[in-house]
Amino acid sequence: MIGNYLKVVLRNVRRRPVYTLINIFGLGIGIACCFLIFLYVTDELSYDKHFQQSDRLYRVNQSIIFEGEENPVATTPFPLKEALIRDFPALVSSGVRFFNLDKDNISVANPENREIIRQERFYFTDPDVVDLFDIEIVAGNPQGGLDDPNSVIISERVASLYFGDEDPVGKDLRVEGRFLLNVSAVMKEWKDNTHFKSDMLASFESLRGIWGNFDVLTARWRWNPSWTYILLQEGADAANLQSQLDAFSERYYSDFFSEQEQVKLYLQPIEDIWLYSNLEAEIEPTSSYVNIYLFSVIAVLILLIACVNFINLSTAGAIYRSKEVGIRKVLGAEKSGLVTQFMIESILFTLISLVLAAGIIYAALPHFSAFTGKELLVGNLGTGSLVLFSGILLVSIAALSGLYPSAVLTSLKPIDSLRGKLSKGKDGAKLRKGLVVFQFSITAFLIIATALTYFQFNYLQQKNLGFDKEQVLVVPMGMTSAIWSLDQFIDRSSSHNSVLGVTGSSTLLGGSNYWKYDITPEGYAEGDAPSLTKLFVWYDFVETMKINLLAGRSFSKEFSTDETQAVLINRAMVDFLEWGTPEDAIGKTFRIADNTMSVVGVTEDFNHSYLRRELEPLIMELPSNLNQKVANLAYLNIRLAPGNPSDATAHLEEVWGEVDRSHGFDYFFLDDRLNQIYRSEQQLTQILSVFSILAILIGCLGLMGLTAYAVNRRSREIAIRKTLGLSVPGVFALLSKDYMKLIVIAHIIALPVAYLVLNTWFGEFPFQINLNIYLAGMFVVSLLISMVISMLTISSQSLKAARINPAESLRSE
Amino acid sequence: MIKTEHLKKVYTTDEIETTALNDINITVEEGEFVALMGPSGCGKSTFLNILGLLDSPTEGDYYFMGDQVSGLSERERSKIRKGNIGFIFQSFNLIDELTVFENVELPLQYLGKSSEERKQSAESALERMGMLPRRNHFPNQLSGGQQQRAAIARAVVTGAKLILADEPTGNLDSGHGKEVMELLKSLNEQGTTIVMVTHSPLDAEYAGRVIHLLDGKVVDSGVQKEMIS
Repeated sequence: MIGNYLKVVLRNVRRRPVYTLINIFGLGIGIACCFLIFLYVTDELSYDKHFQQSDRLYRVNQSIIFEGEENPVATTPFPLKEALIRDFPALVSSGVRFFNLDKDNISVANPENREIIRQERFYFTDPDVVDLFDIEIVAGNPQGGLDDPNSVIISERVASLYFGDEDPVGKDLRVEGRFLLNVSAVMKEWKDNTHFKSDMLASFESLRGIWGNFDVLTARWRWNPSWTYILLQEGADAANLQSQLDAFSERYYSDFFSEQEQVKLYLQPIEDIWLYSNLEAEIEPTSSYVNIYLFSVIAVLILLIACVNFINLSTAGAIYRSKEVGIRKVLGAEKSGLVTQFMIESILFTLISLVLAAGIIYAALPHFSAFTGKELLVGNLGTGSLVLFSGILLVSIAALSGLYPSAVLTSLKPIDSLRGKLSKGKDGAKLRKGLVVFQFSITAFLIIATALTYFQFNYLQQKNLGFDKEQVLVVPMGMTSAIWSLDQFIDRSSSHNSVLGVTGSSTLLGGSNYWKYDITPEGYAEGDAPSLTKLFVWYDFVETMKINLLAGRSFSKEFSTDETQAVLINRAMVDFLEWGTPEDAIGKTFRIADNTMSVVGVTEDFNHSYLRRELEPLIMELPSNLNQKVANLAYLNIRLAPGNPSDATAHLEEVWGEVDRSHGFDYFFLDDRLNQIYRSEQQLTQILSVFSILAILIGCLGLMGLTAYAVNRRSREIAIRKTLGLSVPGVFALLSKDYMKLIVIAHIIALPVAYLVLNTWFGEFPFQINLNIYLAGMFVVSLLISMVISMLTISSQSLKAARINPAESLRSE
Repeated sequence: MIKTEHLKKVYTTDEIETTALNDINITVEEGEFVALMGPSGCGKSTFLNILGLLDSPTEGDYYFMGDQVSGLSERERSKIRKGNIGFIFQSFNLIDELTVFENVELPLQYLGKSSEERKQSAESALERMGMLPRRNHFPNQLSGGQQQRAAIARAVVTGAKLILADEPTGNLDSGHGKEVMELLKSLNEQGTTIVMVTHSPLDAEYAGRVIHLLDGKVVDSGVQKEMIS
């Protein structure tokens, strides 16, 4: 009997190829999207789970609470690790710190060829890193050798970068032009699905050679420059340890913090960091669980749209099949047999779609991988998951799309089937309309959500930062010798006519974390004031960064006291301290350390930190001595004239060579770097757009099929109307009227859903587009897009219907 | 073979109630060839559908081969139909996607016959109808007459005792119509009971008895006459 069913399916396919193609193509794209998203989601969920002891690995985060406000950050003080192991031996087995010299990159050279390369992912760390992070040693000391001072484990990639084919073990690398590290081992590359990766792991003890006051620095609890990971003892309960951390913190931190401040420590499972952590000073940018939900929802929606096509086209096409069902019933077929027949059809279609989807996935995967910046491979899933996923897809799609049409067709009395009574039934039409509304609601939601997400992220990037990020070349300065010759470098750089201004800053404007300091504003008692955000800048900061000055003046070398007694503040600070107008604030004072500093100028607010953070009161100060300069001027910001920068950069490189011989000339453009910071958001919008377009495409395919059936079903009505004088546009109007109504209804349903979802999501951002206006705008645009696409689809069918000789349709009845 | 008592069929659509059949009392003996005649809308086809267990009466009793069948479910009716009743329709009702042979063997599949048995019976039925050479054709490759012959082959392939024919010549020209009627006649002569709805007095001539219906009632249940020779 199954052979008979299959024969009928194949012959039906031959008779109505368009219907079949729409079904298979729609389902194929749907399954492919679903699968790609599944790969992506699986990869996201796999982060850090590959560590053998991942269930016992925790990162310790800390939060300084001031006046009830928490400021959680991912970094912790150096002595924390040892103190935890010492105080909780039954709970904490071991721990590892990672420290990057507070720098984005570190200059490393092979002393033999002296070529300096700036290495990111360079950390000073503890010997247990090999055990905790499953470091795979491929050469050298099998234990890694980080017990020895001045030893370093390098990755295979870095090994070939510095030493080519030579054996790197035992060889030296010069770091920051100042000290040598000896390669003790070579490790495999870190797995991609790790929340941070490292290329170079130097022994923590090496820092002793860099810092004369190593013991003092590594005993400070007020300074939190390292990331601390601990391994719990087997069977130890993290909640138990967590409950003792308040007392622990009180024991160690309180001597270093004022009474108004409280430090809290939090244990975070390593497996949670990638998706659930977005703290200040993350070791590398993290992802978000929101993406997982978002993509999963989109996958399900796309699949639903494809299934709705199948249901709609099958029930609409049931008119063709009802006769067959009737005859089969007359000849003795039972309901279960007929349901089996239609389910076999549905499974067969799904199987063919799966094959098509496999082809699409094969073709699209490399692009999708490049797009997401992940190395996504079908093989990553493992055969078990693959078979399970395909099986679940097959069964759920076949059931979703096949059950209803078969129920409709087989529930009819045989005589009704033979009479084609189905075509006149209103329930089927109602359901189809309901499903079309459902489909269009989803597409409308996707169009609106995608567009608004795009606008929101675009707004975040294009938002007036308060400074001009274009044409600014940034040179990282930390610990280079250039800082010793800052004035010389600035003078020599400025001699080029493309260099319009040079200044320094302690953070990267618009894209760095910032630090809070104990500062006492006028009118506050010592220790009563909240910690305030401070930015160290250099002369010409306001001018070079093109920040609007509201009152007073900027720093000037004409005033010899500016380096010790002057500060600039922003408007938010004036408002925060309730000092009245910017003019009123001039001359007000702050106590910083032991100095009294006067406000000499007030600037407009600008985004000195990430756009995801609220604008905060800010104070700007010049480093008052060489030590402060070395410690705080981390970046040089050089404004270039518009046009080709290559001439200017060549000049700057030459000048750099004069002031620093141990670090390569490293630079980047501020706008590029800021765009990079928001890359994940851009990527998210792009992926959303692609999947939305596909969803819309699948929906339109379904609409095309439905109108084709509508034309067929209404051919007699159209013929009669035509004999009475209906024109071609009239046919179009007749066919499109119903669908236009459905599209409007669908949008009315989608609107509040989109509002709720986006309002909640965008609420997380401090700066938002005007949701109501954009939503209203996109509602109209989405409505128009849907209508135009539907009209185009319908018009082709209308033309066909309009051209048929009415006599033909009437005769066929 | 067939006996109805006070059979009634009422259709209810929205607020309108239409009585299609009213108090029908007839008996058809085994081996009879009965024609049902009457103007359009008199209830002939409805009556035939009830006799064929494709539809159920609203009231009254229907005895098929001695068993009361009027209150049965579709599932139970389907079981009785299988193998006992063959249908012939005005519009042939062949499945367009199946070949002539596949159409004819379909009822045997539902009876669970083996492939060998199906092949034998279907070929024999097709041969009787002169359709064996066209066994691999699809319905749309055949003339109306050929399609109806294939449909008759399908109706008789299970060895059904009763054939119900609903205007079997309605879509055929006179030549093909005559061919079909001759086939039915010969089937009847071989012992098959036939109940046929027709508008054509010429076709009715082939029947041994003509029942006239008007407005859902039997106005003349006819008298068995000598078979036309």
